[in-house]
Amino acid sequence: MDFQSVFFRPDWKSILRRITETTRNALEFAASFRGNCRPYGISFRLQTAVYHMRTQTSDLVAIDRPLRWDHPLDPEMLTRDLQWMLDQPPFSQMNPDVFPSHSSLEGVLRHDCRILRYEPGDIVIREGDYGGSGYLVLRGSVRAFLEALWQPRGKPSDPNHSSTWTEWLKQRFKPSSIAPATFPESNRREGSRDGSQTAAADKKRPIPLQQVETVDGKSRIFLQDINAIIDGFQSEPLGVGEIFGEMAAITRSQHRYTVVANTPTIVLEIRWQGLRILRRDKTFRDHLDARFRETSLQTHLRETPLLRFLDDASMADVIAQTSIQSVGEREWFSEYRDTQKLDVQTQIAREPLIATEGHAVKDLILIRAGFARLSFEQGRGHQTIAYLGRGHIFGLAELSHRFRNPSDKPLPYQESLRALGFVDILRIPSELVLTQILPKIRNSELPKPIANPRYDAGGLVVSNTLPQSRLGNVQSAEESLANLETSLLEFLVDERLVNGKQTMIIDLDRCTGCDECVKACASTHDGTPRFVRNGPEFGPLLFAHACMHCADPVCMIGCPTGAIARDQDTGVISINSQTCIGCKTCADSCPYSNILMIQVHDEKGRAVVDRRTQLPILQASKCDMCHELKTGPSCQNACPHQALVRIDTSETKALANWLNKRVG
Amino acid sequence: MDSRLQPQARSLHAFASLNSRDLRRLFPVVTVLLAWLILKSMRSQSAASLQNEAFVTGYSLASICVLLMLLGVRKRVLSPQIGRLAIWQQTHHYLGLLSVGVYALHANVITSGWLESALALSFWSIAITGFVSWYVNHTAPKLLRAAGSQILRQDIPVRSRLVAKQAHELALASAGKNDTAALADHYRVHVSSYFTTRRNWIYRISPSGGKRRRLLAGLENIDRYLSAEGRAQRREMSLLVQSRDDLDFQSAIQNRIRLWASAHSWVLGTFLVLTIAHVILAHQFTSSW
Repeated sequence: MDFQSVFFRPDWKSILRRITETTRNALEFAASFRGNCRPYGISFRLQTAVYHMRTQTSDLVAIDRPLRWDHPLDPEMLTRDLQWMLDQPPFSQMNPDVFPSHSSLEGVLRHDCRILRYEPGDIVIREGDYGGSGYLVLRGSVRAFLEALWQPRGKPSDPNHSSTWTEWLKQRFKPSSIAPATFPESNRREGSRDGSQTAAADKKRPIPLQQVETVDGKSRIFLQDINAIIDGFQSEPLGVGEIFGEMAAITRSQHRYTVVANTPTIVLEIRWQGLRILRRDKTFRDHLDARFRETSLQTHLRETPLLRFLDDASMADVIAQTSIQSVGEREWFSEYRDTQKLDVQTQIAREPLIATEGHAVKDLILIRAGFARLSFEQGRGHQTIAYLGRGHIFGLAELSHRFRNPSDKPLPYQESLRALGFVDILRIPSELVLTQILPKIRNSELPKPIANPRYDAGGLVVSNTLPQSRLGNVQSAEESLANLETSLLEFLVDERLVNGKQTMIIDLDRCTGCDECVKACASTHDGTPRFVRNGPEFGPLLFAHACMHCADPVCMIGCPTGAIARDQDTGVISINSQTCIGCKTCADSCPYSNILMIQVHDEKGRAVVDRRTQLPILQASKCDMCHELKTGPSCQNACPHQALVRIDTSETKALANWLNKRVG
Repeated sequence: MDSRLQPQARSLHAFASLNSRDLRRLFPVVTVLLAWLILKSMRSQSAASLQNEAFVTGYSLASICVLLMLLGVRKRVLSPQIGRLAIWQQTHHYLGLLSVGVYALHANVITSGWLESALALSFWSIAITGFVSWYVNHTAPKLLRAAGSQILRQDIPVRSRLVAKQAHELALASAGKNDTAALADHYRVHVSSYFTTRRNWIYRISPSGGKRRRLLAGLENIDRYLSAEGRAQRREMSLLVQSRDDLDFQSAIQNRIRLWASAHSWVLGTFLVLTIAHVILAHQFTSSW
C-alpha cells in the first residue's frame, strides 16, 4: 500500500455522507420557510425528503420506556405531607395489604394526589365543568351548592361555537373574562308552578360573581361575598373526610354542582387513576359507592324539569322512595366488540332489558347516564324508535294516560327499553308519580292520552303498526329528540354512534375525495393526520374514524397516567404526549377504533426506541378538535365542498337539523 | 297556482314561495349581476368623459383576478384560518363568473396581436378549466357513490392487487378439474390480462362499462360447460371483475378531479406573466387613463 493510496484514496462513504448532510441541511433550511403552509405542496415534499434522509442517515434514539408514575400530579409533594396524609382518615383506616406492590397506597398518594389549599370563597369545582378527579376534604369545610349558581348560557359548551373568523376576531379584541360554567340541562327546578316565586326570590338573591386574583404567581377563582351567597342559595356543608367530585370522575361526565371553600380549607385532589386503585379497599369502595348513589340520586332528581313544581316536602318524599340502578357494564366496550360480530337480533336480545313492553308500569324511569334503546317488537325482531340519554324519561305516557283516565284499566309499557352498554337509571314508583308528581304538572306538559294503545291490560292489541306516537312515551328534558328515519336510528344505535358528541360525518353526495381535510389535519399535527377518511357508511353518510369526543368516553377508563383527559370547559378529549406511556389501553378500549398508536420521533425526526428492548416507543394519537386553533377543527374548515361536519349525535335533534338542511 | 292571476302577481307569488335556501342561492347571482351592471355603467361614464375606458375594466378585471387567486393562498395558510374554505370556494366561483363578464367588457373574444391573443387564450383556458373543474366536482360524488363505497385513492392499487390475486387463486382452484376447467381456460385467455394490466388511456379519461359488460357476458356464456360448483366459482369471478371495474372507475374519477384542478392552476402562471406584461405595455403605449 503506497502513500498516495492511503492519503488520497477517495473515501466514497465519507463523501456520500457529507453530500447527504449538506443536502439535508439545505432541505431543512428550505423547509424552515414552511411556516403555516399546508403539506403535500412543495414544502411538504421537502419535509418528507428531510424525514427520509434523517431516518436513513441518523441513528435511533434510545430512551428508557416511560412509566406510569414518571409524571406525578404534584411533583413538589413533600415526604412530610405524604406522611401526614397517611395518618389522616380514610387512609389511616385502609389496609395497605390490599394494594399490589407496584401500586402501593403510598405510591398512589405520592403520585396521583395533590394537596390544594383554598381560602373562603374559592371555587373548588364548578358545575358544568368536566371532572377527572375526586376531592377529599382534609381540613376545614366546603359548601356544595345544590342549586345552580349561574344561569346556563344559550348553548352547552361547544368547541365549534367560535369557529367563524368573525367570532375569532371578536374574541381577540374583547377583554378577557372568565366564562360562566355551562350546564347540561336548560331547565332548572323552579320555586313555584308559574315561576313567579323564583323570579321574586332571584331579585333578592345575591348575584354570585366570579373573581380572579393572582397570589404568589397562582391564580385563584373565588366568589365575592361568599356568606351572602351561602345564605341565598341552597347548599350542603361537607366536612373533613368527605369526598366530592368523584361522581363526574367515575362517570366521565360534567360536575352537577359547584363546590366552594367555606373556611380556610385543605383538599386532597385524587385523580381518577388513583381513585380506581384506592377502590381496592372495601370500606373506601363501599363509602364511595354509597355516597355516589346518594348524591347522584338527589342531584338528578333536583335537576329534573318534571319535578320542578314539587315543594320541599314532596321532593324529600320522592328522594326517599326513588331507587338508583346501574344496568350493564361500565367497561362495556369489550362486550360490545364481541356482540358486534353477531347478527342484529342476537345483539338486541343480549342488551339488558330495563323495561319490557306489555308489562305493568311499576316505575317511572329516569335516565341519569348512558344510553338506552327504545324499541318494540316487529315481526321476529325489534324495531328501534329512538335512543334515550341523560335527562330522558320513560313510561310517562302510560302513567299520564292512567292519571287522566282513572276509571280505565292501567296500560302496560308500550315499548321496551334496553341498555346500550351501561346505563344509570332512577326508578320512581308509579303510585308516587300518580299521587305526588302528576297532580302538580301543567296539563299542557303532560303527554297526550294514548288513543290506540299497542298493548292494553289484556295484552297485545295491534301487532303490526307503529306506536301511535313515536316519541309519545318519552319526555325529553331538552326537547332534543327528533324523528329520524328508522333505519338511520338503528344504524346509529347498532354502531353505538349515539355516544358521539363531535362525530365526524362526511356527506358522500358532496365529497370528491380531494383529501383537503386529511391534509389540513396532518398539517396541524406535525404531518400526521389524526383521523382516517373511512368508516361505517349509511347511504351517503360516512361516519369517519375520527375521535367523537364521546358522551361516555370509555377510552379514559383504563389510562394509568391520566394522559387522556377531558378538557374541563370544552369537553374535548385529548392526549397529553408528555404523560402518555404508550400502553395502548385507550386504543384497545375505544369501541370505534378511533385511537391510533404511532411511533414517537424526536425533534430531529429520529425514531425513539426503548433502550432495553430496542423496540419502538409508541404513543396514542387521536383527534383533538384542533383545540390549539382558535378557529375550530381544521378538517371542517378545510373542506371546500361543505361535505364534512362535526355533529353531536348523542341527541337526534342536531343530526335531524343537519339532514333537513342538507336536503334543503 | 290560480290561473286567473296576472303574470306580475304570478311572479310575485313565485318569489314569495322561495325558501331561504333558494334566496341564499339567488343572492350571489344577483350580486354578480349588479356588480357587472355597475362596472358597465362606470365604463360608459368613463367613455363619455373621454377617458380610456379600458383602464376601468382592465383594472377591475385585474382586481378580480387577484381576489380569485386568494383562494390558493387561503388553501395554503392554516393559521389563522380566515373563514371556511367552502365559503372561499363559493366566492371564487361567483367571482369567476363575474370575471368572464368583465372580460367581455374589457376585450373582445378574438383579439389581435400575439401578446393579447396569448393573454386571451390563457384567460379562456383558466375560465374553461375552472368551469370544467366545478362541473366535475359537482358530478363526481354521485359517480363515485355509484361505484360502491368511496375508496381512498391511495388504497386503490393495493385493493386492485388483492382482487387480482383472488381472481388468480380462484382460477387456479378451478383448473385441473373437468367440472370447472372451462373457467380456468376462459380466465387464462380472456380475463387474466384485465386483472393484471392497467386500463387504457381512453378508459382513464372517460370510464365506461363496455369492457366489464363484455367480460361478464363472456363469463356467463361458459356456464353451460360448468357444474354447479363451477357456476358458483364463475359467479365469484364475475363479482371480482365487477370489483376491479369499480376500483378502476373510482381511480379514473378521482384522477379526473385532480387533473382539472391542476390544469386550472397550471395555466395561472402563464396568465400572470402575460397580464403583468400587458399592464406594462398598456401604460407604455397609452397616453391617458
